[in-house]
Order: sequence, then C-alpha cells, then structure tokens
Amino acid sequence: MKQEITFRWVIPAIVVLLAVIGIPFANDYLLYVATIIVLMSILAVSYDVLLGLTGYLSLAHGFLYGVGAYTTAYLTTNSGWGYWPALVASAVISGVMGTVIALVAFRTRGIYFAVLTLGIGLVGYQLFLVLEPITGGVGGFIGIPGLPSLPGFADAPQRNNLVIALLVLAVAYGASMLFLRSSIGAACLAVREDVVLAQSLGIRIGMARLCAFSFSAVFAGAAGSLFAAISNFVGPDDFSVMATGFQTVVYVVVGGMGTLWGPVLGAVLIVALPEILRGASTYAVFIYGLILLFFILFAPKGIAGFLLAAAKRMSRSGRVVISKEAEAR
Amino acid sequence: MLELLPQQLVNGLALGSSYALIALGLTLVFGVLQIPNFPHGELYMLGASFTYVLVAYGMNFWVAVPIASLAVVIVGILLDQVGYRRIDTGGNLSLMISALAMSTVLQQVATLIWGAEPHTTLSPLPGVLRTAYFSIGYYQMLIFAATIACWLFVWVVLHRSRLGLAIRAMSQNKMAAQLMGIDLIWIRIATFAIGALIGGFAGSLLGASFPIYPTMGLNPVLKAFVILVIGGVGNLWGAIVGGFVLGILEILVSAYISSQLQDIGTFAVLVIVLIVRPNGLFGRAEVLR
Amino acid sequence: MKMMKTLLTAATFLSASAVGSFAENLTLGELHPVTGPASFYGLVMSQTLKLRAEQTNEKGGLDVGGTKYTLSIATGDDQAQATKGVAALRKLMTDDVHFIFGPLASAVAPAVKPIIDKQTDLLQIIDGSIADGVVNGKNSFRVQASADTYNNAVLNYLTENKVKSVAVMTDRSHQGFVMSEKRMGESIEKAGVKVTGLEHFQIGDTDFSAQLTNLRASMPDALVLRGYPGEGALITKQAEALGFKGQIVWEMGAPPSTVMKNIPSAQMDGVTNCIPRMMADYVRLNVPNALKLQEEFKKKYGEDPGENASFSNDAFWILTTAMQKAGSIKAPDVAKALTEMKVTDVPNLIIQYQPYENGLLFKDGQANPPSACQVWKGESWQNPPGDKIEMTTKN
Repeated sequence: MKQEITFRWVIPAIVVLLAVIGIPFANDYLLYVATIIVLMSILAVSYDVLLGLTGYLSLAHGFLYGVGAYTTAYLTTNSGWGYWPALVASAVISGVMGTVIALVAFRTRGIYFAVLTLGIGLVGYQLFLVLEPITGGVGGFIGIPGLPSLPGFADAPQRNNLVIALLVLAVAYGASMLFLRSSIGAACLAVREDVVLAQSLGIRIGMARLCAFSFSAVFAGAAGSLFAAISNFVGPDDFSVMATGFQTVVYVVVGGMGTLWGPVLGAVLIVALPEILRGASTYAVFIYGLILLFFILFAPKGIAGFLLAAAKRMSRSGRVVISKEAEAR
Repeated sequence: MLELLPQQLVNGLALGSSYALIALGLTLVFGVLQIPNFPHGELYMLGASFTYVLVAYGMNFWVAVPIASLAVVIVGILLDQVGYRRIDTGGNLSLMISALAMSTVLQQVATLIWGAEPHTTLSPLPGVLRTAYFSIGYYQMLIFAATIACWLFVWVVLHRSRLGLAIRAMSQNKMAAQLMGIDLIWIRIATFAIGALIGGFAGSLLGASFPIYPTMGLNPVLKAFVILVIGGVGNLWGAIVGGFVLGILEILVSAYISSQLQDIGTFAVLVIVLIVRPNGLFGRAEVLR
Repeated sequence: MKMMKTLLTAATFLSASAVGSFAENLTLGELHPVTGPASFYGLVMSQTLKLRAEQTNEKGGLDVGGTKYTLSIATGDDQAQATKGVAALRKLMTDDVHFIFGPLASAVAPAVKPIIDKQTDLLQIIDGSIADGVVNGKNSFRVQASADTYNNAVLNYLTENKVKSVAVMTDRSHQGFVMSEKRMGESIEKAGVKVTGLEHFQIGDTDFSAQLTNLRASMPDALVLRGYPGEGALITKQAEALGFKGQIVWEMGAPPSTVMKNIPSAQMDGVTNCIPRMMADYVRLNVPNALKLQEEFKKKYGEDPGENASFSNDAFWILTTAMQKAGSIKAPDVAKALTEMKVTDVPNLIIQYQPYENGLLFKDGQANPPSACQVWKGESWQNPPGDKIEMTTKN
C-alpha cells in the first residue's frame, strides 16, 4: 500500500518532468504521438474508475468517446460554438448518454454486462455511420476547427495540443484520485469485492457504480472532444468496438487495474509500441501481438503489479518491511 | 413482400446454422473454463485455410476436412498451454488480453504465410434445391446437418462418456472435482481439443462458402459471444437455438426494415432481450447440465 | 514514457541520419497499408514504387536541374486506419520528406487532408483512394479516378445496352462508393433507367440472401455490385443460387486471379465489370509500358502486379517528370509543374489518361483515367469485341 501511494505521485511527477523537458525540443511527430498517448491516458484513467473499482467490464466506451468527438465536431463546425463550451458540452452529453446506458446495463452482471455493453457499442458505432446528416456517415466529419491557442503557444499548434491534452489529463487524474478516496469510491470497492456483503452493510451499490460509470463517460467524452479538434477530422472507424472499445480495456489491464497510474503507463506502452515497431514493416503487428502476449503472461497484474512487486523486493532487501496490503492490491 | 417470407426464413436458417456452428465451440470452452477464447475465430480461420491449402494441393475435400480439423486441435491445445494456463489465476481480464493478443498473433502469422487476399475453397457440393416457395443450396443443407451433428457429438461426449462426466464435474466445481481424483490438466486439454475441433471443422466447411482471409474470424466470434449470452452461458442447446435466432433476426431486419440498419436492428434486439431477461433468453443455464 | 521517448528519438535519429546526410539523396514518402487486412492492395503499390526508385538509381539517379539524386522510398504504414495514417504522415514530415504517394485507404485520405492543406512544402499524389473531396489541386493531386468516373462507367454500360431497370448493392463501408451513391442513383434515373432497389452490405459480410431475395422480386434487368471482389464473388454466387437471371454488373477493382480464387469461372461467365481501366486491362491490350512493368515486377517479386500497380507506377513517373520539368525538388515548384503538365509530357505511363483542355493531365488536381467494361469469359476479363484503347501517352 505504501509503495502504491508513492507511485500515485511519482508517475504524474515523471510525466510533468518529461513534458517540461521534452515539449520544447520534440518534433511534430513525437508531439503527435505523445498527444494521442495523453488522450488515451485520459480514457484509461477514467475507465479505470469503472473497471478497476467496480469490476464491471464495459465495451461501450468507444462509442462514448465517439459521442464526445462528434458533439464537438458538430458544435464547433456547424453551430459556431467556441471550443471550450463545446468541450464542456461534449463531456456533459457523453456523461448523460453514459448514465442512460448504465441505468440499462446495470440490470446485468458479469459476461452479460460485457455483452450488453458490447451490443450498445456496436449499435452506437452503426449510428455514427447511419446518421449521416449529423456525423457525415462513412465519409466522416471534415473541417473541424483546431484547439484554441494557449498564451505563448500561438505559433506551435502541436505543442499547444499536447499541453491542453496534458491539462485535461491532469484534471482527469486528479478527479479520479478524489473519486477513489471519496465514500462513493469506497462503496465501489465494496461492490467489486462482494456485492451481497456490501448490500447487507447498507452500502448503496446502485448509486456507487452508477457514479463510476457516469464519471468515466464524462472523461471519455472529453477525450473524444480533444481528439476531434486535434485531428480536424473524425471518421467512424476510430469509435468501433474493436478499435477504441477493446483498446481501452487493454490499456487498463496491461497497465494494472485499480491503480489509476498503471493505466497511464499502459496507454503509453500500447500506443507507443506500434510506433516503435514501424521499422519492422510487415512484421510490425505480429511483433506487437507477441510482445503483448509475453507481457500479459509474465505480468498478469499489469505494469503496476510488476513495479509494485519490484519495489517491494527492493525495500525488503533494504530494511525488513512486511507489507501485506501491497500484496493484496 | 410477405410472399417472400418462406425464402427469407430459409435464408435465416442457413445463416443461423453457420453462426451456431461457430458459437458451439466457444460456448463449450467458456462454459467449462470461463475463458473468453477470442482466438476461436482464428481457429475457425485456420480450419478454413488448412483445408484450402490441402485442396489446392489436390487432396479430396472430404479427406481434407478431418485432417484440417485435427491440425486445428493441436493449435487449440497449444493456445491454452501457452496463453491461458499460466495466468489462469490472474483473473478473467488477463485471460481476455491474452486471448486478444493471441488472436492478433495468429492473424498476422496467417497474413505472413498466405497474404490477405480473400480466397474460397471450391464447393464440393454445388447445386441448388428449388421448390415453389424457396430455394436453398445443397451445401447449405449440409452445413445445417453438420451443425446438428456437432451438437449431438458434444452432447454424447458430455453425457455418455467418463470424460464428459469429468468435464461436467470440473465446470461445476473445480475443487470438488480435483478431490474426486479427476486430473484437471487432462480435462482442460480435452475441453480445448473439443472446442478447437468444432471451430476448425466449422472453418473447414464454411471456407467452401465464404471467402477465407486472416481476419475472417473477427465478426463471427463477436456474434458467437452474443449468441453465447442469448443462449445462456454454457448452454450448448442454447448456443444452437441462439445461433438460429440471431440468423433469422438479421435476415428479417435486413429484408423488412433496411439492409443499412441490419446491425443496428439486430443488436438493438439483443440489448432489449438482455434488459428484459438479464440472464439471457433461456435463463442462466446451470453450466453444461 | 521515458523509455518510449528515448527509443522514439533514437528511431527518428537513425532514420534521419540514414537518408538526410547526403545532399544528393531524395526521399519520397508513401502512405500505404503494408500490414493489416488492406495490405493485399497496399503492398503491391509499395513494391511498385520501390522497384521504380531502384531502377532509377541503377541508371545513375534522377537528374533534376543538373543534380543527380539517389531516390529512396520511405514507407509510412497506415494500416488503412486514420490515426495510424496521421502518425505515419507526421513521421515522414519529421524525416524531411516533402513528397507523398498515397493514401490508398479512404479512411486515411480525409484524415491526412487537413495536415496536407496547411503544409505548403508538401506535395501529395493520391494513387488509391477515390473518396470525395480529398484533392485540392494546389498541393494534392490524384492519378486514381474519382468516384464519378467509376459510376459513369456503369451508367454508360446501362444506357448503351438499353437496360430498362437496375438494382444496386453498395458496400456501405466503402467511402467512395457510399458518398457517391445518391448522385449515381439520380443520374441513372435521369438517363431513363429505373432503379428498382438500393441495398447495402458491408465488407466481411457472408450472407446477402435477404437483400438478394428482395432485389430478385423487383425483377431488375441488371444488378450492380459496388465493393470488393471477395464479396462480389460471393454475391454473384448467392444471386445465382436464389434464381436471379438478369445481368450482373460489377463496379470494383477485381484482378482475375482474385476472382478465380473465389468463384468457379463458369459461374462468372458473362458478368461484366465497369471501372476505370487498370493494370491487367492494359496488359491485355498490349500497352507496352504495362507489359514492361508486368515483366519487371514479376522478375523482382515473383508474382503479377495487382490492379493498383498501374496507379503507383504512373504517380512515380508523373512526380519525377514534374521535378525534372521544374528543375527543382521544392514542393511548390513541382506542384506548379504538375498543374501545367501535359499527358504527353510523361514517359512510361501505363494508364492512357484522357487529356483535359490544352492536353493537360490534371484539372483541379484530378487526372482522368479512361474507363471501360469487360466481360468475364473463360478464366479472365475479356475486352468486348472491337474494344480498342486510344493511346494518349508516349509508349
């Protein structure tokens, strides 16, 4: 437990440090990849609040990410909204949509929940294709205005994008930490461990897991909103279940569920890996699959689990500290 | 349009039998071992690819089918031994990631060997039965029969053999089964072997109807998970009925509403089914009883 | 994060030093899917470009304004996915690449467009995507036909053969076909042909019986299929099984080898394909440049070049000729040369582009490849009797 709390602060500190050192020097390509990593981290951290805390596996989040993206696209392009109000609106609309989905989906549990949300994700993706007047259909939504410049970043749109994305990630991370420590967060954990026990202790599990779902939907919408403005274009493919829907789960599990900082590392690894493997040409995806497989086999509790175990070993070799809690998590 | 209904229902049965055939193996593995075996789609793809290669080398189709299916059994067992056994205690989600990773690897291996160009095994049984109300290919009828035969095969194995007894014991209570002296490792291998056998067999047969390419298993496996839930987890008969329900549903939506809304209509019905019956159409079947 | 940044920086540094350290090197970029499901189409395009670059280097390099340049092709693998494509383009730009061939995928073309539109020192020649609205005529050009050229090929066929009624089935995941579907339907109706049904399917679908049963009941003279050959073959089979007796018209790039792998040739007999002419067409019509590429490609890679090889081949020659005419490897100069380029200026073209006014190759960035219909007979597409190609280029 002790190590975990340390990591909760160390990882964001490293991210900030890297950003401060790296952003002034990085080229446009690195900035773009880093920006996508940050967007995926926003998704992953907020999704961890749902999956890691309550144990419910939702496959509808690719759709919610898309709701955010298309909302921003529509408001800024067709309705002349400024970006910031559009960001808030995207987060809210995605949050409302998520709440509705949650109200329906929480009637089920386990694999039934996963498949129900899978169905919602598939329907949602198809809606993006079919609702052509709003979404542009299969051709996508073109001509979306970019992000507004922060002071001092007017000549460097790529840096500007990354900094804004990082700020939103900071908000998402901070909010997730607060959620985790709140009484609702504690209730969520109780839901994950034992629903019946939680109920009999008088914990309002329905409210707790609903909050977790809505919370993750709000930030999925915000990430989608950023994606739309950064890309100036959105097409339906990015929001299919097989794309973002499953990828988000991969970030969280590979990173380490329920730790919040782990999923950030997961997003870094999973987004950066294909870019690093570009040199491998036709073998790139094959090697990516192999690495992912080896990774999950040798670190089934994710990067976080691996780091925590290593940290525990180190501190044990220094002085004798027995930390049963770290093991439990 | 209603005069077309008999033909559309036949269309639905034909489509449904292909869904059911693929879902059967997935349901078995998930029901016994609680492993979300996404690479089942790739086993299906490999069954199709092996058969195509053997037939291309001049082998008779009916000889190629069992050989290809048995080759897929080996791959299926390997998947379990490499990808699942090690992390069986790590929780369902690690298993799922491992499954997704193995899917990717198998798709890529297939791409590197055979390329991504679609190809179809020459149908060994061409010809169409035409009646006043509908027409159906002989080969589609064969697939329908094969689906029922596979279900019977699994049922007989599970209910009329010592192995089946052990599998059912394991799916109900691992610990108790172990205490009764059942060797879990062999039961595991046997379960995967049967699941892979049906998956490979499905691919082997359907590859003579549908184009074969590395990612051909993606959609069928997603639909198989839907069927698994409609039919009830571990309910084999439910997988068969669920397959037909999904097939007929898709055809009817496409025929009477809009082919553009096929997926929306189908999955919307799934969502509604789960809202009304949170444990699937046929309830939460006690696993494999 | 740290490890990834180090690795990324190292990778960028390595590739940059490999290509950028000698003045006489010139790197041309390409955006094609060389992995993933679309690699079947993309790999051939990449191979064609590499073959051409290699040959140019063997002859001492590309002579631009008295300087000899050794050419290299930097592959940006987009996996036919928008985000991967944008990353690939950004990487190429970071590696100081100013010329881009591609993309093939219509999911990628509109995604990279905002970046290309903003970049004045970048020049794009699209050799694959037929999506609407991705060519600006300033720094993006297209040698592949537009969707309208595809559709008009079908329309011509329908009117020439006095077809009275037609049903259309479109792959609704194919941007170019979907976005032009309404226009196409309207122009068919305008030409006096009745459209009895518009149905849809999706790439990867295996069952089309619901749509076909409905279409058959509407009794059209012809059934037009717009998509990819895997589904095309399957629909053709299922249509026959359901008793459809009318003419089947494909509108898709369908190499005979792919068709043969998916449907018994006897079942294909009489099926017509109406599209812009592509690689195999020009080979069959004995266009010398096509035969040459066919032979060279086979020698190097051991197989026939796919349909899109013709577009990549032509894009290569059009770009390099424009550089030589401009006497510069600065993108804006080359772009200017492209807008002034005549069809007859470029050597080694396979496609016999229809010249615009004053013999120009491009109008608003779009070249005009001719289209035609072929009929399947025996084991391949055959040109209908009397079909001749009007040679518009040097051969």
